[in-house]
Amino acid sequence: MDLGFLAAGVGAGITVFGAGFGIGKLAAAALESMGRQPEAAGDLRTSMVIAAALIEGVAFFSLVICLLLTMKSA
Amino acid sequence: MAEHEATHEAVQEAAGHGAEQFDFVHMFHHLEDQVVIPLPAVQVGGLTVDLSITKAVLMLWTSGLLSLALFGLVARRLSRSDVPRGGLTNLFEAMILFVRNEMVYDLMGKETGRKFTPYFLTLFFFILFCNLLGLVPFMFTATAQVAVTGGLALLTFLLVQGSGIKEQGLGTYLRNLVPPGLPVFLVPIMIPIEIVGHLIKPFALTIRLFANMTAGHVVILSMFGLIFLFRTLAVVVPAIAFVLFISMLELFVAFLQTYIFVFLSILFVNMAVHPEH
Repeated sequence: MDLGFLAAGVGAGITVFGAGFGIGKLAAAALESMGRQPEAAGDLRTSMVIAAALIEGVAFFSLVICLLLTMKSA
Repeated sequence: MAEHEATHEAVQEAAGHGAEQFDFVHMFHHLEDQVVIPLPAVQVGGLTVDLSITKAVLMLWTSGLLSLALFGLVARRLSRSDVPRGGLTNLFEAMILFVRNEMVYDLMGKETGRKFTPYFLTLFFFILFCNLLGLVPFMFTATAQVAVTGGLALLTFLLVQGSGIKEQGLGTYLRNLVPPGLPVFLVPIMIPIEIVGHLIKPFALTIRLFANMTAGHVVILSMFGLIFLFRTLAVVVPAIAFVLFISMLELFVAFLQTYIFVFLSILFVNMAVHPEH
């Protein structure tokens, strides 16, 4: 019974929850602003993509840790 | 690596001789580097450097040579005439102008941008070709190795520090480490924080690019692994459809991560060269 696998799975699950929630909020704000001011849609889209990639970057830190846990436990 | 082999054998034994069990550790072999031409290791002052030609090294060379050949061709065609030049030239001219105008000049201004445009263009297309080569069958993603992305982030780090010191002089640059107008007793606390802040940014660049490239491949391999796990024909079509979808996503991620890496590099160099208080 290796708890490393369980830890990796639970960690990945919590990370996905956090990242999904964060990017969801970001997308909601961006879409609302694009609805209010369609002329700024291009700028908003660029900033949204950049912010989403940064948030995903943080989520990937935890993915790397989960992968390390898995490979260590294997 | 020895642990993988031990577990693999243990699982084979437990499953009984002849019946193969699917163990996921086998999947990681596809993510690891494979040696193509083994060369002897060299001792460089205490460190043992293994100079074997691996698949990642081949991919790095391919990306570099491809960039050289392609952009040599594009530059020759562009300098020759102003009239319609054909699809390839137009495509790369559009991308080069995008990186130069919307990214470098937009963030850094035209005068400083002029000095740094060659580096950022090279960085952009090198990372892009490395990422895209990983999607070709039988090739390997060089940027899915931490060493490669770490090296690229190290280059950016050196550029940031070097251009900051060159622009402001060593003394002023070190003094700008702490924000001005700070009470004196806070300075010893701020200095380590600022240094760590400077170091964590290339580290984040490394991990972001590496993890994005690796994660796509891990998902694709897991989907293929499902076929081996269930061993029914009914799983094949949905699995392949999902793999197709994930490959499309990976294509998008290849471009996006290149853009993010270069965008953040430009931001960091800009912050070093134009310190805004």
